[in-house]
Amino acid sequence: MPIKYTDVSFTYNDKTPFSYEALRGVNLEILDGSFTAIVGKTGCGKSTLIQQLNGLLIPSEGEVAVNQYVVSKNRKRRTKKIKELRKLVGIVFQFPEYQLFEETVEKDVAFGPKNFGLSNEEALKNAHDALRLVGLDDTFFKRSPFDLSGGERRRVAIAGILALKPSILVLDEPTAGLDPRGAREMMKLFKGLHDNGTTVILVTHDMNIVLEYSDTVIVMEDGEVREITTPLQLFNQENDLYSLETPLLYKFVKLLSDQGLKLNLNEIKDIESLGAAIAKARGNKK
Amino acid sequence: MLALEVKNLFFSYDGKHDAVNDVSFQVQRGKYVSIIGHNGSGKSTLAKLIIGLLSFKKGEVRVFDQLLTNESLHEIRSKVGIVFQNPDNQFIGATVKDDIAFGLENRLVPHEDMEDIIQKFAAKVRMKEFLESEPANLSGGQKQRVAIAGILAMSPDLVILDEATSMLDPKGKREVKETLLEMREENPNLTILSITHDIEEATISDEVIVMHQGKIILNGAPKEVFANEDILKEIDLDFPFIQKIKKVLKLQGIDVENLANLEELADFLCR
Repeated sequence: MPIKYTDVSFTYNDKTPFSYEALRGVNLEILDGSFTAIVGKTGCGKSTLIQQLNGLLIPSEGEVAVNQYVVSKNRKRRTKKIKELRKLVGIVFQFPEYQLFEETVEKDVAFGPKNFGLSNEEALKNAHDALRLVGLDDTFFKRSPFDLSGGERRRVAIAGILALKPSILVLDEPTAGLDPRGAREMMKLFKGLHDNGTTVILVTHDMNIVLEYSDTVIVMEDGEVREITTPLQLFNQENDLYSLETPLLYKFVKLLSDQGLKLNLNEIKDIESLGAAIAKARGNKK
Repeated sequence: MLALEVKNLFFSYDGKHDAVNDVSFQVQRGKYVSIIGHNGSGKSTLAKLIIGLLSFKKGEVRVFDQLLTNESLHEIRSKVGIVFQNPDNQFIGATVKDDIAFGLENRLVPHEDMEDIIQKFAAKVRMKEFLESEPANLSGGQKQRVAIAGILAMSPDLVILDEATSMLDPKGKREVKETLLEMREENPNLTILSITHDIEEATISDEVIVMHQGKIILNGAPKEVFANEDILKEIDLDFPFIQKIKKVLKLQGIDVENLANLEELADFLCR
């Protein structure tokens, strides 16, 4: 089991007047090679949850294990090799474009690999590969990140993580604020990485993305894990159980199912597959 | 009465190409207008020009019939509230309560009225139990809620939302929009300009403005705007769900062009 949370609780500013319990008794496992979506209302603990994955936050109670690395308060249990863990788990935060700082795009992306001990040359090569992967060609390499548009800057920031070649990629609302085209391209990129074996963990409010890309959904509420399920099951249960708002596509699927059209739900991931499923169901009826 | 009138507006960041290029439009008071377009199409720049955060090189902006100049800037800003996308860049107070109070103090709201106003708007965005929290300890979406409460508490006549709900859960997004519409019942002047990537939101607003490469290329009722399929396709913008599903069904040989909404469509398909 590559990722395992055992009885994890987390309190911000513990033992101060501002103390706030963000996670309570979280137990969960995430499989190797999965595409897992983490969903829930704002403030339910999603971002706190993922920051425990590479030891950026240490659980107040319990522990998080990623392969052989353990993140825990317990000195005997916790890994001494935090750097190795951070190479394994790449986290892209909300609005990562605000974290760029170097003079050129390539230097910014190469910063991480260099920090992990690669030579200048190797780091630059990794940086270039990562930049091409996110759709930024050679013409961007020598430019200042501050001259780029918001969407381009976000790509640079993501390339900075990809240049470390993480096996587990964690993304906190990577498409927030992107236009639909940009969001689509971004998701295509993550899907490509996933197809090549990367485990992807995605925090999102976009239920269309959950439906189309994820195979597992973790539903959080008030700092607790309420359910670990599949998109299909999640959207098929009682309306708005976790106030997640069913994707429009799935509302329409329900509308059709309620009126007796027999659709094969397993086949429906996006609008094209829905169209095909409708045609098939109507064909069957005749 | 016009809430906003923009005439032949030009702006350039680098002096070479125009980020806002000859933009003109009018918004009647009380309307809810969505501005859509790709990242970099000039939407946010336009918003900043309207509230005088950037100075335009040519053109005219009028807010509730008042011409935007250096002299009128202060008065105009007292009527306009803007919420930006990244809430981290707009916090001032040490607690949520202080933060909402800051704007009210600036507007010289009497101290005895403040508490009620703060409570009211914190409740509207469901942040009442966080009034004593430090903004730094809030999640991204909670910060956006506070930023929105802080602006609405000042009861502006023109509210500009620049992707201001991008980090809210879908229900939170809807609640913010409902709060705005409620406030419009009380204040018929309240005009909403929402810069958004949410095409479904655009379909329920009164008007839609489409920006592309610094220009307004479409402007009108949602139905009229989204009927321009060729133009929208050309610039690769998304379509409303109903339009997309109709197209997909047509490819499958099911012609449903005349059906107006998803309910009619479902009725037809299940017949």
